[in-house]
Amino acid sequence: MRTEYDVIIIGGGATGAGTARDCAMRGLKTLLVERADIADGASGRNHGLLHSGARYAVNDRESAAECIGENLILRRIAAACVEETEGLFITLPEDDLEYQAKFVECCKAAGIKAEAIDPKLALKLEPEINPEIIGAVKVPDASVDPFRLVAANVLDAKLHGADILTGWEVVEFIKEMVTITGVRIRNVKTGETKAIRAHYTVNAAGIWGAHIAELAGVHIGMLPSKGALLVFGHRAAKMVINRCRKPANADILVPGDVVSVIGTTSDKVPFEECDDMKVTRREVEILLTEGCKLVPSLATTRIIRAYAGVRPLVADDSDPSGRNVSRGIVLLDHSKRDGIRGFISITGGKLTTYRLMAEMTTDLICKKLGLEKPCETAIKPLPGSEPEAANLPHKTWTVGQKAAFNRHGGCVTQMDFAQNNTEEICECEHVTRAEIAYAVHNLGVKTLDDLRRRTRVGMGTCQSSFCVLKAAKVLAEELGTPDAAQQLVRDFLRERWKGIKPVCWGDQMREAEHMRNLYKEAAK
Amino acid sequence: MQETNISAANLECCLKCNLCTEVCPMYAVNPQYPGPKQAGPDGERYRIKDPEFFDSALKYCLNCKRCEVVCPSGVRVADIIAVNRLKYGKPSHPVRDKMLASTDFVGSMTVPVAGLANPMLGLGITKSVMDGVLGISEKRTFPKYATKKFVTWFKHHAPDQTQYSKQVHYFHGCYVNYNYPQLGKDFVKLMNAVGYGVKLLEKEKCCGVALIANGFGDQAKKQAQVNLDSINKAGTEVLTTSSTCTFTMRDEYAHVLGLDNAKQRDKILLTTKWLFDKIEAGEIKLAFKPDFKLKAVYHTACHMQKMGWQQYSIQLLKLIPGLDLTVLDQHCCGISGTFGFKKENYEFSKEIGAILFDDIKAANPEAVITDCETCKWQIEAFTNIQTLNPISILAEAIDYEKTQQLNAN
Amino acid sequence: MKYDVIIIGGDQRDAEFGLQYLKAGKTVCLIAEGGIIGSPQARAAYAKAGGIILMADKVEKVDVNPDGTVDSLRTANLGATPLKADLYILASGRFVAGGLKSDMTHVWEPIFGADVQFAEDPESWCKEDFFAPQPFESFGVKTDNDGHVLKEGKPIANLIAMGSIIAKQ
Repeated sequence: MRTEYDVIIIGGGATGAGTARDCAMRGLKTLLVERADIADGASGRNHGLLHSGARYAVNDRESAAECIGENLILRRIAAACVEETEGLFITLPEDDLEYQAKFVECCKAAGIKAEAIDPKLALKLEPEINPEIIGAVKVPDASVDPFRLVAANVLDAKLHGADILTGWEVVEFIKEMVTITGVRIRNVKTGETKAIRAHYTVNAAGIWGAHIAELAGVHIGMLPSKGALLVFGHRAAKMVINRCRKPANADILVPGDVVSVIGTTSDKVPFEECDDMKVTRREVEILLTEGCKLVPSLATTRIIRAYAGVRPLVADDSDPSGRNVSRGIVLLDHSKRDGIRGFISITGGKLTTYRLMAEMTTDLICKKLGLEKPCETAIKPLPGSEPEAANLPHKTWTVGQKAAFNRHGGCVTQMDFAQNNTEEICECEHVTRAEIAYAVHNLGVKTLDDLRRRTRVGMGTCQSSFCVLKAAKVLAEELGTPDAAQQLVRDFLRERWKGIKPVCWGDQMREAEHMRNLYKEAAK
Repeated sequence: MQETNISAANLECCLKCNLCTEVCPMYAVNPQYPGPKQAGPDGERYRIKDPEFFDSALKYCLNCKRCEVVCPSGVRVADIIAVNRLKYGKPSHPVRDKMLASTDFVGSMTVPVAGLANPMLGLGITKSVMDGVLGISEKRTFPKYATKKFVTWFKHHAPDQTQYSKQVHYFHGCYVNYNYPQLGKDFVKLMNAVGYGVKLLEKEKCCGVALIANGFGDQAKKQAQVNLDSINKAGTEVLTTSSTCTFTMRDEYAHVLGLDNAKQRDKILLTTKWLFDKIEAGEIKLAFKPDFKLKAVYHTACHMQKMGWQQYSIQLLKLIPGLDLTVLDQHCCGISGTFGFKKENYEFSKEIGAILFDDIKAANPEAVITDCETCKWQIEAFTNIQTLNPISILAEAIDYEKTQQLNAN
Repeated sequence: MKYDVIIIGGDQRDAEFGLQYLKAGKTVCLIAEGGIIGSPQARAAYAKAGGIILMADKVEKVDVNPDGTVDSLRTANLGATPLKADLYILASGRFVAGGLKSDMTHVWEPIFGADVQFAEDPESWCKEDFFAPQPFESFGVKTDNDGHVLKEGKPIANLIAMGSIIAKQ
């Protein structure tokens, strides 16, 4: 690995990964540094909604227009990560139907194809929605798998020559006068440190970007906002279901791959809590009560997990009180803003607009470097999302292969489905040994939790109580450290438990007890 | 809210404990079959997302329901599989499957020519045609078709049934009607002995179990509705002598075909259950012949175990003083109705049943007793030991006159 | 159907316990919600000794005598057929086996409506660390010193609890 780069990007979320890809594609020597794993922060802790922009149309037309633009691009370039479910905004009897008219009008103004339809037709399109609805609007929302989206960006950045370091955190900036010339990074596991130099350093660390900025000697006012979500065991609806009202708690249900996700809540939290978000029973209750109003069958669908992410809300620079929040994408050129050169922050925005944020950031870097290379991330498909992937003979495949195709698109051809690799390791999610081997050797997997983000291992209804031992054994073998299996098991069970605990009643209580019966001794 | 999860077939109650996989007779012998958990609840989550995830290996499910019996979470594993097969499966051999599935049609076509059909179905050359062209295993002996249908006998020869003040309806099923009218005759004899006259339903169709298994859901639904309507019209309980027909009408109509049988379900009873409850309540008494002697084993058919009714048959049989009865451990016989007749399944069918056949041979009985007719074919084919329904045993063992006197009032 | 002892429970220990009664000359019936979990040998030995197993069955109704004792049970499979015994043993396990049910705020025993000990605040049912002993593992039905199940504070004279369904201190 080199020690000098054109660009260092801090943060392995969607924005950081997207920026790494864009920089690498434009020929910059690029390094991405992430202290945990890719998509470990807010990028992996959201709805997995590819916004049409409709959600923002009434209050924030600019964001709405950005969303629909990116939505259409990602359907093309990230086809393997996006499912074109389409979405509905439904009006319940207690909601104001006049809001719907305004909503449709604002959508149109932002360039979003929003079409008010007869509630009866809406019920036909999506029989699971509340039959009491008095209004419905069809919008081009879609479902996106954030883990795969980030992984595909990282993979493509690597294919274009970028280096990726996960498990390393930035501890210090290297400064020469008023110019940042690099960073000192530390391996979170071993404590080893090293200095890396670059012409530009990009802060794409989400909510943790406030801290990174402080390290660089600049201040970004950020307001961490916690959003809690619930995962249901299977798809309760096949479309994205939104509540047509002013944004409030739990008014979006997204079919995320084979599960359903309802969210979110929205509460200011202190920075100290951002590293360890806990969902309370109270939040679960709010999500469930509101969610059942959208799709009544959620009342009888098993909740397998709760989780929370932190939105990196950025205080508006023009408001000295710090209470007003910037809307949309925030790109800070610190040489202009703070007189610190070589340092750029990219924050705000949405998962849906990550690519645009990356493009804006990379454009700025290229401009500063005097490089005239156009952005191609809106045209070139991500690995696995090439249009040819649709022609693969997937109809004849086993369920395990089909599931791998569902997750990795065209990259499935790089998996070795030889006889002894077809065994399903995670049976809930049909993850085979072949897929695990592929993920370990191509997608930078170190722990079972990393593996989960790449493949869905342990994300099913049993939350790994059946597969954790097998998965750990296979992962340890593929990593070439067979002795590490036990530790992998312990770490993963602790991680899974965090999400189970807030929803531990009913059938998930049974699952929890079952898991304890099987593994409580594994701590020793 | 969220007290229990009651999504279809209790899909979400699955804890992934794999007890179902452990008892699945097909999983044990066929590496192509992913097992009930995988084919059922695991696969279902993916099929809900996209039917493309349907796995054609689901055709191997025997629908024996053993998975459901052991499930500690009440997941209707086999129902999930059956429903998906009807929704997405395609018959691998449409002509043959249709032929095997339409038990009453084939039966009604062949009975008039049974004299011809029986040797034909047994003939080597016909069999090899079936094997080659139709994919029916040439190693199979078809159940013989009777020369006279049960209903014909009943119309002309059954003693006058209206003389009895109390009445029951009888759902005879295809097997009694076309293959083995003797069981129907035994039933009538037993009912008359205990003071009940027998009526047939206004219209009776095959219960549809074979149609369901072979992927003909629409036809099965039509026939089921005819039966449900007839049962609804019948003023009495409707008794049966086949555990599978009973189970199909009580549970599969609602769970697999999605029909509403709530009104009819409790009326449909296996004769041994009905009889046991009447005897316990003191309404019916049986007297047995002093000289009846038989050494037999009882085999619990899979669907009998699913209903949990084997105790009724066993306890009734235990009333017979001259019957030396051993209850066998429950194992699947491997035939699963028409499944075992298909060429591609013959070896699985034989292998699955091997434990049961060994148990039977080790007990060396004079007869095997079971409530299921297809178990009978399979057991007779592989052990050469005659296999009888409990009703036939009871009809044979009772002292007819004495029993009639005991139940005369 | 009448037995000396009816055990509601489906694991190996219940079969072994039933076998003890059988050896003492009693008639025993085991009602299991699923199959018999655990050693097949235990199940086979129990069955061989004449023990009855009602698999995949569920007690749906309890008939109670005026003195509060259990008169008979009705199950999902057997419908109208009453099951009677001199002694009823509640060994239906904790949550996995369905002996206890729970929703977001309550824990209850579904068959007899027995008194259940559990923590009022659901937030305290689990510990943060998976490997720490979990508070919910101490929930269960209350019994008197002789193991009789309590209902509304009073012991039921012909119903005793056995195994993990009993509340732990």
